[in-house]
Amino acid sequence: MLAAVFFVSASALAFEVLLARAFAITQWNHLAFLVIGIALLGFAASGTWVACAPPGPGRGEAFAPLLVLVSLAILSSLCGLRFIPLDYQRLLLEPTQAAFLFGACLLFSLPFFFAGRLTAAAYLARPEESGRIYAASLAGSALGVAAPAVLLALLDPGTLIAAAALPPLLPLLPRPFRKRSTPALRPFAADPKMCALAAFPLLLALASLSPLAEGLRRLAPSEFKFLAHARSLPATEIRRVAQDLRGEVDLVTSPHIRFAAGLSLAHTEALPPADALLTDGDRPVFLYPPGPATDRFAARTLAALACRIPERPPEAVLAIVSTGGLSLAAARAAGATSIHAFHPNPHVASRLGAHYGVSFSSGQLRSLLSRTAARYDLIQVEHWGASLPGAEALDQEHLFTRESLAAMLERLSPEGAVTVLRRLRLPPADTLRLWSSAVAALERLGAPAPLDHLFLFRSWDSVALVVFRNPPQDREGLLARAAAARFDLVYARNADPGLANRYHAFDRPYLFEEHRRLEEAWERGAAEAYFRGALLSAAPQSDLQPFPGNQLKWSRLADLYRATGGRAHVLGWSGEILVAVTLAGAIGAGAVLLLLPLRFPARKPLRPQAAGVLAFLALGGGFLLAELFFLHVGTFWLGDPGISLVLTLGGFLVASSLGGLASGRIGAAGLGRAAALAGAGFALPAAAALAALSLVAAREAPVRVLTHCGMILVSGFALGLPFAPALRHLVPRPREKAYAWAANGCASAVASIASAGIAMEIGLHGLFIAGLACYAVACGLLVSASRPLPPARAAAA
Amino acid sequence: MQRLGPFFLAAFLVFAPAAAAAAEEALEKARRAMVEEQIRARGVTNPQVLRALLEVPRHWFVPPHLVPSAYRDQPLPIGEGQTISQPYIVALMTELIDPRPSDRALEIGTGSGYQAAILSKLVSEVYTIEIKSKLYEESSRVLSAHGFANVTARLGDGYFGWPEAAPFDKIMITAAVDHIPPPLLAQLRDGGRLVLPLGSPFGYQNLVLVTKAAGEVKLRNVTGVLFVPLTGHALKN
Repeated sequence: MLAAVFFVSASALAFEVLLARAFAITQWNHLAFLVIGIALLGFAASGTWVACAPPGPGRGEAFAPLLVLVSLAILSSLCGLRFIPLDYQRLLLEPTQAAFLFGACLLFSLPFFFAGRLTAAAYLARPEESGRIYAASLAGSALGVAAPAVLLALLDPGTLIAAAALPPLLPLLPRPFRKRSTPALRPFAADPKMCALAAFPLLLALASLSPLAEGLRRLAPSEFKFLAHARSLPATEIRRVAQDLRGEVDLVTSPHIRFAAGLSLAHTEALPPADALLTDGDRPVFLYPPGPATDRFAARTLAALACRIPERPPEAVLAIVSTGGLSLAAARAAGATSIHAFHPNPHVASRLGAHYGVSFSSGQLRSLLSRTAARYDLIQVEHWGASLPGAEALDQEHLFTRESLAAMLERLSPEGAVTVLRRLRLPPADTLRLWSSAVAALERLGAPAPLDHLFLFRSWDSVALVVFRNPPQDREGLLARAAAARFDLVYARNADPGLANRYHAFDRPYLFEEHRRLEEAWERGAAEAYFRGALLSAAPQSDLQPFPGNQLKWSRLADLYRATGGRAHVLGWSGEILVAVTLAGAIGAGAVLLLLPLRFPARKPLRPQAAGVLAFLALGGGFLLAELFFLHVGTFWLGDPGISLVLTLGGFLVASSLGGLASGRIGAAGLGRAAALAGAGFALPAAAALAALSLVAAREAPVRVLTHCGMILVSGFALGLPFAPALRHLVPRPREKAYAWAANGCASAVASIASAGIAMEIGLHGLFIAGLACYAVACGLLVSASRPLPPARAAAA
Repeated sequence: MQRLGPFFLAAFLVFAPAAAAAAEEALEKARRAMVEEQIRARGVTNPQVLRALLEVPRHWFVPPHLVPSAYRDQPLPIGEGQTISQPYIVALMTELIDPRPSDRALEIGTGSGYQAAILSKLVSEVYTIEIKSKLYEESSRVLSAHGFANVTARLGDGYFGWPEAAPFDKIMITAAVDHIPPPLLAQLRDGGRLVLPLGSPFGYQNLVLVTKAAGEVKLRNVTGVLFVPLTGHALKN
């Protein structure tokens, strides 16, 4: 039995981590909030099942079938990942996508449902061994989180998911290969029928791992990703060059790839074809062939305009390439003597460095900026986004925050400039936000007249924000060079409107006019009012709210729909819609799971105590809000969401389990105090994290990792204190325990998904406040629920 | 039954031409309705363009099973992941390039051949390039079969244009691109026009008119559109 709990817990958690990796490949984001929500709903459903249909006294649920079901559910999920044509970006374009989304979530929750039932069955069958069962579950979960982190460097996520179906079958291995353990499993091990039952999923799992099933295991990226497009190009070669927890990196070699964002209309030569490095099938970084043709082409891009500021060639250039690669080609074409490339992924960074013959770095940019003594003439931030516009709405990205821009500005030489190269998006919001973040950054550095430092230029599809460390002396020369290169002006202080909308004409100079309005508002001290009244979100980004792709304002949805000419699909291409749809689904599913035990079985429906149920809801919601808070913090500090997911998930598992073990002495009277301790245990590290968010990010990797782990361990331990004693003292009967488990799980699932919306709309401090509020409510409810009834009411009860 | 055979044959010989004529008349009626309701009503007023759309049967250029839908207000799939554009877009793009009888026009993305056929009624010479061999063969067959003699087709990558026949007075790109292919700018005559859907191949694009005057190239946004990618595959319905 302990082995069963161990292996099932390991498989379930491994599947959870791998599911996030799989989404990163097949969709546009790892969707960690959704993955965690799916897992928790599955666990909650297991509680509902037991609450509705508890086993009779002295009888446990059969373990062997559950082990088989966990295995089959994981294999079915692999098939679902491969064959369900889910693409959440098309939710508004294709109504069937909603059905695919909910169907996929239901399918992916099954492994957790059966795993939860098995664990519950173990507790019910052997309550006197609950400590050992708990330890087995914890150890298995920890292994399940850690194993993919290591194995993803060797095997792809599809293969690992198929492999995760095997461990649950190990306890069913027939004698003589395992010794007798507990009486609970002994009969099954000797039973030929059970061995036969295990044989079927075992054969399936082995078959899915065979070379014949390679097609099943190969996860396909969205057909709108660059990789899918590249596969349709003739004479094209695609090769996997790296894979690990951070992602899969492919090199695409093709004569048909030509990336020319921000190309001047004056360029009439054929573009040199480039190779492309893709991460999880998209976010291309282009490797242009060295030579005069590339130099001529690169010299006629917006990236090159920045290199001619001032007119002398830049000596030291830092090229921060999130996607693109033009900045490196342009820096070389401009004759820069020292070029340093940065990309978050070390595999991509090393290939960039090798291809262009430059030094390179990877990981956390803020840490690099704080530790380097270099002073740059030019820092180019190149971030063109995903191939599908709007697909990065859910991405947490700290590149464009005011703190990040300030850190870059501090690394400049006195005449230096930071340029940010982005896709042009309409209605104007992205450029307004960049502008306002740059102004905020300059104000942080004490610039007396920030607007004199700023320039914005555009081509048809691209914009370049140029922010000088000091106002340029040759401002008119810069404007003239931009005009000569056929780029339109979007913003410069007191600029002639005639410079706008000349070469790439819209019906009106929308961008110029809107930036002029923002400038006027800022000069009047009415910038906040401007942001409140704007159609899309354009306020400066900060490290607390780093979601540059999030621009939707729910209150202006109708106006936005009209402004886009009635194109509802434009709204669909935003992560906010996905979060809203999945949140509605999670609330609906949670409501069903909570209502079912109150109706079934019909003869004996549950009548739980309301305060107790609400307490478990509050505990579940608060726990996940806290966990997601640290997940977001970890994404910033550690520089990668996959690494943060593993560390945060694993850390919280271990720490909260230790807290649960330590809570053994907490009695009924101490429940309120336990909840208060939990709240304090979260509040103090979280407040410290918020206060030192940017400071820690600027430190070396060991400091960041240790700080993050330390905060998780403290918080996790504290958060693990109230649940187990509440389960012991508030809900003595097994059915009520199962119901409390379900309530806790449902609230956690809803909180997980809601956390994505809270983080985008309010910021990380929103998660902090919401989590703290949940524990405050839990504290009050636990105090109330654990208070003994007055004698008269006790007699009546 | 055998005695009825000649009767049926006679009936077929009498009624089949009538049925075919009725079908042709119905398609012509649909074509007139298309021009009036989908094109003229939406602001395309160039009389030569409207006449060309009336003269060129769109149903020649769609797969046989889609002939009944040939005059609907929508694009239609033609195989190989490509589509024949919505009639209004064909008309709009044609009007935008302001075709003159003496013009030499280049089309990138022959597709069904319909756009090339329309252009052939309005300009002196049409050069058209298609990268997908099956579409190239089929469109060439249709254009040749129906006597569009001033259309010259080629199988190849339209990104590089047709340098041997350059310069062109008018250039039309009928697939989505994320940047204007510079060779096409070079092959556009001074005073010429180029129209294309410009934007992300996997999202929505803007229909853009490019003009060249005194060596200066300028670009004007017209309207939002959705085109299949150049050398890519179409968005599924």
